[in-house]
Amino acid sequence: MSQSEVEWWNFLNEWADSLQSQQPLEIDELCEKYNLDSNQAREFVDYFEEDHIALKPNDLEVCMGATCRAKGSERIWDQLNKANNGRVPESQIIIRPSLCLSECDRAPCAKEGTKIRTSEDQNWLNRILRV
Amino acid sequence: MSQAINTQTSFYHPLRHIDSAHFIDVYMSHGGYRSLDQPQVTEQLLTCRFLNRNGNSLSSYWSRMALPPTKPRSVLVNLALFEPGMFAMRRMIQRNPHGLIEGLLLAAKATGSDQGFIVSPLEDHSLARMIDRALSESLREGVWGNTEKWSFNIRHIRLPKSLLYDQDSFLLASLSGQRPGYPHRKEFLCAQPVHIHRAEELYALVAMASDSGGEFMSKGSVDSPGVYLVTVGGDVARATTVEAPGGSAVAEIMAASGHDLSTKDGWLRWGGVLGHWYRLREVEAMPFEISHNDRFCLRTFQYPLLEWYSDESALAAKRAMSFFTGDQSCGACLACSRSTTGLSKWSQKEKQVFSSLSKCSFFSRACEASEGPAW
Repeated sequence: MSQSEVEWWNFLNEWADSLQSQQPLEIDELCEKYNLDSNQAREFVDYFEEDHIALKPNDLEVCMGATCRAKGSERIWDQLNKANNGRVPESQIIIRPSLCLSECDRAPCAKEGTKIRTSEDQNWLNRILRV
Repeated sequence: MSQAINTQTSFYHPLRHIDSAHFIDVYMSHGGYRSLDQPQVTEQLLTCRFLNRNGNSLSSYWSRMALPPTKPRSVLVNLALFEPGMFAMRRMIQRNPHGLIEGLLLAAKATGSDQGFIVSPLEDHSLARMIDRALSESLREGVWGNTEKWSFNIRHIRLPKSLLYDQDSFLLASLSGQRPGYPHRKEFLCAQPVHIHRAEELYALVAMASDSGGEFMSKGSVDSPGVYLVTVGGDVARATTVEAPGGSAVAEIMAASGHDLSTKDGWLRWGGVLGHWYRLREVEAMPFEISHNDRFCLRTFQYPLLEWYSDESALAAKRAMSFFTGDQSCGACLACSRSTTGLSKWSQKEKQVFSSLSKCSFFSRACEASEGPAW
């Protein structure tokens, strides 16, 4: 590995440790320590951090704004409710309508826990329906 | 005076083609925050004729209260973002958070404020994280805070959506504990006079204070000088934002958004959920003005949002409107206590009776918005 790759490797290890121990990470200090571009590091951390925010998978908000409805969110709502009603109560999820999730350029969208699911992410609906 | 819409350049987000423009070093290396050091910028903003969403010029809005210079005052950015379809501001802040802060600082300089508040919804984690990061970066760079040049403090206040309102008077009532069900007063304003702005007004301030400020104000019509952000949504291929000079024709705005106008069919809704419905072919040549226009201006509870729907999807949009009015109605007056969700089932006569009984502009707008395509 090159020197730069070693530095990134060390950075990723410390970042993974901080996620596991739930200790806040000082990105700037770490970048200084390993001589990394802080913008690149922040882009990376911001992108992957969302996966580690505690999701409430039982809580799903489906956008029922006009744009999302025009793009088929009513059909998604029906599919989700139909699948949910066919499950035993212990595995059911809470599905709520939302006025708008302000993601109209990626409609139809939904919010699973704290994570926004949009039309660019095709698998989220199938995954929920399959469970 | 109206000019064609230029989709190649952007006044509101000039760095949109530059990667990582949401980081302060990239933003500053492209001229960000430079306008704050210009001595004539305050005068330039106080004399501009740009109109805010309520149709007032910024200088008349800022001077609406006669205040002695020693009286403290503050600037508040309202990021309520509760109008369905108005996604553009959230996207803009995510891509250019330092533009928001620079606009806030410009507004503070022009009004002589010593405190700034950014009020955002508690539920929106990604937006809050972006704002917090931009604030900490700009504080570290000495753009605001207790610096040698001036002392200005910015606080990011996160409140639940149920406490946030887009209308200024509603928001102030909510923050003062006067809304029913939410009696807890938020003390951060401390009874200060406060200038409330939407995010797009602050981005416009940055555009006016920049090198291209002269070009920005030379566009537009006599009644609506300048360039305004219009969100285009609905059943179009991809919802987007258009920077339209005041006086632009509706067809021009739709064409700039990439929507195919060859069919001339379908419905157009202007103003958001409580807006008006028009047949596209009837109004495509009409100009958009912030004020002084009988059709494409902004009334209370209306927003610069242009939506196109096919005949089929217009029904879905009407159902969304019914859901919205039922959820957002406070139910305090007689008309709304009959439940606005029943709008779809009411006869024309019933609508007229209840609309005349209601003193609330929300309900009047809801009755008007229920016209248009059949339910």
